[in-house]
Amino acid sequence: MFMEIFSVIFNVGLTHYLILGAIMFCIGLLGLIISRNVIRVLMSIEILLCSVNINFAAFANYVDINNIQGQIFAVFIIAVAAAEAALGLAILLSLYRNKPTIDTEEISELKG
Amino acid sequence: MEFFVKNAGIIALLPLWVFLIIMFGQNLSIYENKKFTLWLTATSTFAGLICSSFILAWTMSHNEPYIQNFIWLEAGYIKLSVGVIVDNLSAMMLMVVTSVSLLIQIYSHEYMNKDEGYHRFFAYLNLFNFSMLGLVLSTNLFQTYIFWELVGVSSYLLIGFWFRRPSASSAATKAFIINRIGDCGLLLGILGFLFFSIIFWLNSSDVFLGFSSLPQAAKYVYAATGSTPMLYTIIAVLIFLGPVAKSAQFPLHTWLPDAMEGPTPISALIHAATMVAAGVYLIARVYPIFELSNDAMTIIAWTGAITAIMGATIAITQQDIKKALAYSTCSQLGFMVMAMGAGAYAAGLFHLMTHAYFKAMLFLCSGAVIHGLNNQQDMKYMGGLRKHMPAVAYTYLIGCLAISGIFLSGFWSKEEIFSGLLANNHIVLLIIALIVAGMTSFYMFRTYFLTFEGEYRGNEHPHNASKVITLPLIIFAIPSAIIGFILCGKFGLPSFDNFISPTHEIVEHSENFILPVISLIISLAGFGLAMVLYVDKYRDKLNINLDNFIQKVKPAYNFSTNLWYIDKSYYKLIDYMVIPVCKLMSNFDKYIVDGIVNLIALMTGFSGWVLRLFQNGNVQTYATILFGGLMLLTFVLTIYWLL
Repeated sequence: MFMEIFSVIFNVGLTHYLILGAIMFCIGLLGLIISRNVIRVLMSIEILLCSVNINFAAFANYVDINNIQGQIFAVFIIAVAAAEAALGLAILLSLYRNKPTIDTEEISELKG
Repeated sequence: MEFFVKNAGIIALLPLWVFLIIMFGQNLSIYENKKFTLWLTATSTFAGLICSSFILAWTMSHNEPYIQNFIWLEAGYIKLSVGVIVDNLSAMMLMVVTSVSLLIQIYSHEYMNKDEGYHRFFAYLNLFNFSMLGLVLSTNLFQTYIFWELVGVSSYLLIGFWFRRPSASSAATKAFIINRIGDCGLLLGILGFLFFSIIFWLNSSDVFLGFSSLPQAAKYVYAATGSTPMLYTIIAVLIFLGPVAKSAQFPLHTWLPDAMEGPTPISALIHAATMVAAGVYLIARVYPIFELSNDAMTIIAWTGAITAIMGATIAITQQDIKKALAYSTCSQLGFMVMAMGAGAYAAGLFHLMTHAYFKAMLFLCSGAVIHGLNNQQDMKYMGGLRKHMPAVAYTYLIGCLAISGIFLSGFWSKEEIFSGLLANNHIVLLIIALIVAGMTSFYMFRTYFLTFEGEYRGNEHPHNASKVITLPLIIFAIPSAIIGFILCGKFGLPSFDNFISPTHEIVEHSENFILPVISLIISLAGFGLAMVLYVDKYRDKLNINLDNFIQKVKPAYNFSTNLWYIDKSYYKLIDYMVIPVCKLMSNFDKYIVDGIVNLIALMTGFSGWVLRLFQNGNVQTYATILFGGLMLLTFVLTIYWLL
């Protein structure tokens, strides 16, 4: 009885992973849009990339078990994400030097 | 002599070059000396005069005209050309234009010497010379039309020469607009004529609308519109509308008196001697067209008659000496047009020539008087000037005798008009012409007596004109006095008629002496009446009070001083007819046409405003829009896929 329940709970399939990825993507997106702090925006971007990674890994595991293209792609994304975070922080730092704020409401230099 | 005839175009081109030289070089230091401009202008005109004399001599011995053409425009099978025609008519006009303008240029040097626009004045004068000579030398109606417009432009520029004066600039505008009406008619007439004769020109060896084949073309058009003679008459009358405006004939004459706002040499050259005569010249050129339509000829003759009598009646009461002369010009032009319309072709041109000399001289005399009195034009403040400027007074007297037809040149040309009218059985016109001749003599001697005789009534001290001014006057006095007699064709002297119309059948004038005697008596009667009314001595002797006399004829006097109410009714017409229509059109433009344009602009602006809301510079807004759009797109596509 216990084992049955266990297997039902832990018998996860592709769908569960995709749902998890979608939930994380939405969280990341929400964070990206509503955060005022630039650090949090960067963190949200990481969450977005993570959700993508989950999708890659899930698809690779369930659909294309013989090749490991998905996993390799996920590794690449992690590397690029690290680089991107570093770049983002550097930009943020130089921005902060010119304009002592990290509030996104205050930063509207993109306006023509 | 052949050389001058073959290069007749040079006569017209010299003034153009001088115009360009003066126009583009007037700021150079060499022009500090005003004589440079004068020499340049006078030399070019003098060269033109020499060439013209040789050409005139050539035409005496050659009956065939010399024609030279260059193709200028080719549009499909229509070929338009410019060129040079040398025949008796153009030779005569060349002679008149170059001689009159040479003398007037010398006169202007003194008259305009103190004016700041001296160089501009001479540049315009040369432009006018170019246009006028080009008009005279035109080989076809198309080229005539171009130069016709050019003389209009130069006349406009010279009327508005003192453009800082509001009256001068509005007079220039008035002249230009009224001439536009006539030019519009002329252009329509030419186009109508071309439309019906296009096949004729294609088969003809002559250039399009060329004058030398105009008689045949007119016959062709007459045949082509044969079923409706009305149409042919309309074309002829439309062409006649050009001369009506340019020669200041009855409905469109109002610009000419106003044109006296220009400098007096211009009034003499353009608005008395040459340009206004261009209308008569054009009638002479396209005479074959008019000849075929009796109705058109009648209209021309009566327009001339009405103008003649109108000009004369108005000139009687004018106080401004230049206005009086202007209306007299109107009246004399009416004479010429009337002669043309009545079939006295040569007589009209003869009067054109004699009139050019004596009217130019009269205007120059009035200019000398105005100059001597520091721009006083009102005859109320003149009088007794014969003592102060005898040369001017005597030349003016010669001019008066000439225009009144008392023995001097006007007598011979008017006599020819009278006998032409009689020969063509226009008895009513003849009576009108005789009455007008009497009135002419009356108003001319009125101006003479008011200006030069009696006591001086003004305040300015009159000073005599300098030699540069009197010399052209004295030279002008010679042709004014004798040219009519020299060319009268009687007493073994050469005949102008035979010269000008070698191809037309020569009308043998009935050699009766009744008509000249009658005209002479009428002119002398006018002279006598003027003397009785305007010389103090005789007036006192006969106990005539001028004011009482005017009171007695008050309605007629008012009718005349108010210029027949023509100007006033035109202004009323403009106020109540033209301006409301213009307002309507302007409102249509302002609210409907502009409204549509503004609406389009507003729509663009509104969409721009909407789009601008998305561009606030905040990166998160962009992200929201990006993902929102993506979601919307996904949603739509999903729905679409499901359906």
